Amino acid sequence: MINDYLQPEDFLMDDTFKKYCEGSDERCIRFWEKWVVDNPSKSDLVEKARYMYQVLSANITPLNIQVNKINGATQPEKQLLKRHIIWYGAAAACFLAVLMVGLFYYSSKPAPAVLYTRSFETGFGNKKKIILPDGTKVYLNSGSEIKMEKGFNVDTRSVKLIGEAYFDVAHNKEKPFKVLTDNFKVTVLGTVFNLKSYPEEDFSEASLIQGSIKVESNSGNDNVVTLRPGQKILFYKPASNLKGAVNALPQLPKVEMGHITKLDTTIVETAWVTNNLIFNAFTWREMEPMLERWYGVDIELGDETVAGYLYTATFSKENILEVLKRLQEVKHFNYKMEGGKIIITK
Amino acid sequence: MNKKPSPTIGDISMYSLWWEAMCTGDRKAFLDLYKGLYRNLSVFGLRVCTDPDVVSDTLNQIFLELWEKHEFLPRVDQVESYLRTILKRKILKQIGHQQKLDRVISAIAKDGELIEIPYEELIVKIQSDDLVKRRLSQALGKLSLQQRKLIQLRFYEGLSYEDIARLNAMTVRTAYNTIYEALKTLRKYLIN
Repeated sequence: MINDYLQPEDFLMDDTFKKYCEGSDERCIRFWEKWVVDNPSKSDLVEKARYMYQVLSANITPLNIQVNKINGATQPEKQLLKRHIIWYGAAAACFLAVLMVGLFYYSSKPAPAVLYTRSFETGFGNKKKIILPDGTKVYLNSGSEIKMEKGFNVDTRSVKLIGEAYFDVAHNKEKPFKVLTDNFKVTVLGTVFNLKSYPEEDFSEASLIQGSIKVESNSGNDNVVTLRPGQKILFYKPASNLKGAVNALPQLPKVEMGHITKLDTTIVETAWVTNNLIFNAFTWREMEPMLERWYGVDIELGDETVAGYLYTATFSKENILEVLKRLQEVKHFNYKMEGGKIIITK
Repeated sequence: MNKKPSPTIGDISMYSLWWEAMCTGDRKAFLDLYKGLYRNLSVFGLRVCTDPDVVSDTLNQIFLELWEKHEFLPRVDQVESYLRTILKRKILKQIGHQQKLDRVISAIAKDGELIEIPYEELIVKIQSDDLVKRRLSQALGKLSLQQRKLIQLRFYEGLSYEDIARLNAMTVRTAYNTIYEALKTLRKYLIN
């Protein structure tokens, strides 16, 4: 009978499907999770139905996800997890050294092919909030893409990220949540973090807000760093991996540990989630790709001196012209619009 | 406002029974109480503040606190309204607090007062994408009053077809058909 469902509304009318979306009935959840896997040709239809449910239910978080959180929090914390979080400076240094070598080693080896089924994308100038089938909330920043690996939420929970995303991962001990980027792999149980890995920027970073995450080089399980809340890790790409660089010798990627930055009480790394664009002593060179993605505009830096000017500013609802005007007030520059481009000059 | 009828044994509300059991340290009763009240309290919370994340986080905070001090909790006759009061106070406190910290959240606090926002306004407001907002309000505009009301009861307040039929003095068949037609219209606008 379910095979006769041809439209999202056919699924939504089904009581068991609604309970699956609500997360209110364990049996319905199991049934539909399995059904989706067994009927990959219908996964698109199911996604649409789930999306409609999400909109019509006013985005109320599914019950099972909430219960998982409550369950996790009311159970005594696992010793294991605590041990993982302990951090020794010396150990960190060792880890990082190994990690760097691992990263370098990896960059010269092709990755095994992995199948990805569903993906979400944001163009320049817009952002998306997505709830993955396991209940994990993902905020996708502009110009980014996230792909779910085949069989997501069946045996494993793996996604691939290009660009920047903020994750609020639904707790599930049995199926650790993994994010793969070009430079590193992140494994979590249930936690909140931000990943940034744009091909056009010269570094990638992982910032941890809550819980704990393991950051692993792409080569294997040996090179692991565990982050504590408030910490972040930065990967500077070797120059040859950067878009536009040609004929440069491959260099060792540089890895750096740091702390997330707070401006008053706002965390700079995740401010974009609440629609804040923050520049914290950024040069025009650093702001350019961010502004291009955020506003979906094309910017050209026509002057080397101006490219190095430093700005600290916060924007939320301003349009690009207002932004330029306010930046001009901080440190003056000129700009002109030419052929759909904004050209910044002295 | 129509809400989910609360489960009872005879004249005694299950919520009161679960509350009592929770106070004695019964973890299962604590979770049952949470599951039983989750939707009603979320819908109520969304009237206080239209950010679903704030509502669900605050709700979890409250229940975690209940569990932490379950031995010292008072006897409560009307469990649901007791929890509603706590929820409202907490959310208002939270957005008031955030207001000082965060300019974005304060925009929500401005309409954080307890005026009931119509369902169709609420679900449009929550969407962050302008295109989705437009499509959704277009789609809702195409629905009849009856259709909108039934969609709300079914997907927002989480009622069964039987309860919806009873509340609206119609047959289950009619309720079912009305919702089906409404979903068809919504789909045409929301999904391309």
